[in-house]
Amino acid sequence: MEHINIEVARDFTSTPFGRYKGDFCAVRLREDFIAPALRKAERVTVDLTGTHGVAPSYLQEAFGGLVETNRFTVDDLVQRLEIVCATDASRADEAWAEIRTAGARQKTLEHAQA
Amino acid sequence: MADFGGYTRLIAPARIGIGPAELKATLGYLHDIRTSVLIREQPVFLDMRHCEHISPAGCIMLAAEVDRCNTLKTNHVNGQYPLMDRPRATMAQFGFHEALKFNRPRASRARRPAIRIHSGPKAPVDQGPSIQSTSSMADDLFGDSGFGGKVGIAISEAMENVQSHAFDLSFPEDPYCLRGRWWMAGLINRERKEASFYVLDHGPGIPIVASKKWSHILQDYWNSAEASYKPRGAPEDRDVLNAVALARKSGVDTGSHGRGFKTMIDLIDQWSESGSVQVVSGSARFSLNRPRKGAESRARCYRLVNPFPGTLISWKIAAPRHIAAEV
Repeated sequence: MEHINIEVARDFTSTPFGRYKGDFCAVRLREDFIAPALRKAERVTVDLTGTHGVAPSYLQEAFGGLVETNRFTVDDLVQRLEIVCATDASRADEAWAEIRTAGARQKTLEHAQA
Repeated sequence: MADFGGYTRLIAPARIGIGPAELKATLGYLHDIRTSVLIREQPVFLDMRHCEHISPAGCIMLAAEVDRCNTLKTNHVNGQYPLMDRPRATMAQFGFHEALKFNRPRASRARRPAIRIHSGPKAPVDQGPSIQSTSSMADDLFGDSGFGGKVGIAISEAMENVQSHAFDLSFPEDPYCLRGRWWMAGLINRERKEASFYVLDHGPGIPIVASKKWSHILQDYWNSAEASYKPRGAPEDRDVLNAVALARKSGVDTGSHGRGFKTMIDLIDQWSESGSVQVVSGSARFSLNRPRKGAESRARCYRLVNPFPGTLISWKIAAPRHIAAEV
């Protein structure tokens, strides 16, 4: 079973900034690292340890976007994705909250369209 | 106002800042500078000799206004620093002269560490390191309790808003709108364990952006039990700014919007000993103030006589009591 470990501070940047624009924006983290890893591997760990100033909107785009843009389901992510942050555990909780909120919004949208 | 060697001389108010007693005169002065240069195309000389006080927020607003005018009309603004040492020291401390490539004002040494004015000529796409250096001052001030980290997150969210709103190209060109220009500064008071941060952009302003992009959210907020009133007829800037600031906090589903305000307000309400956030945007000023722990925060929003084309956010927080006690 393949397991990919993404250490954001080492593999991407320790100072992530920007939702859509910039070399270290949330869309790039999601599209170039997290989503491809989820497509390739059975299990993926995203480690935010050592990152600074990750804004709520950044977490929403990087993690909530997995549901809203990349169409992963919340259940699938719960099974296969691990988010950790040794320096501030609340960041991981917030990232999961963004995933769940995106899932709820997606359901509401689908219900309205049905 | 008088002719001054080909320049129109504009005499600065005695106090430049965003406090209730200063804001009207300050915005009036900025309005005079802007309209002289950009509408009448008249070079201006800023006579600040008799200015007695300039606050950090006033300093960044004036620097940004001079930059706006000199960018849109090259070399149309010149001036003279205050005669008094204190306002000169504030301007030197914040790097007013460096930001504008002016001569350094002669002044005594600054008393407090300041985060000098940063500004950017384009979308702040790679601001992570500069935000980290800014928030690291908060880390140093507040210690390793995690509070400094939360401050850094709030600054990052505020700058994210600058990026997404100030550089939004979906609005018609405004003669005063200087796209792709952002400003940031800060001040640390070690004795009081307080930090202040200032973020400014010359985009369309929150009321214009929100009226266009948030209309359903604004209506949801005004229809909610949390709203103290619902505007009759077309909402004014103050109605919109107030709703934008408080909608997410009130529990209205704002989607991806309003996170910057909520992050700043939550830090004041839930973590810090005291704090305030003030926003000047369009024709409105919003303020939320919590004078001490345990006290209810109080939000107010009112109409401005002289509008400010752009957005200034001033945010002040004091360390939680357990950190403050270590001083």
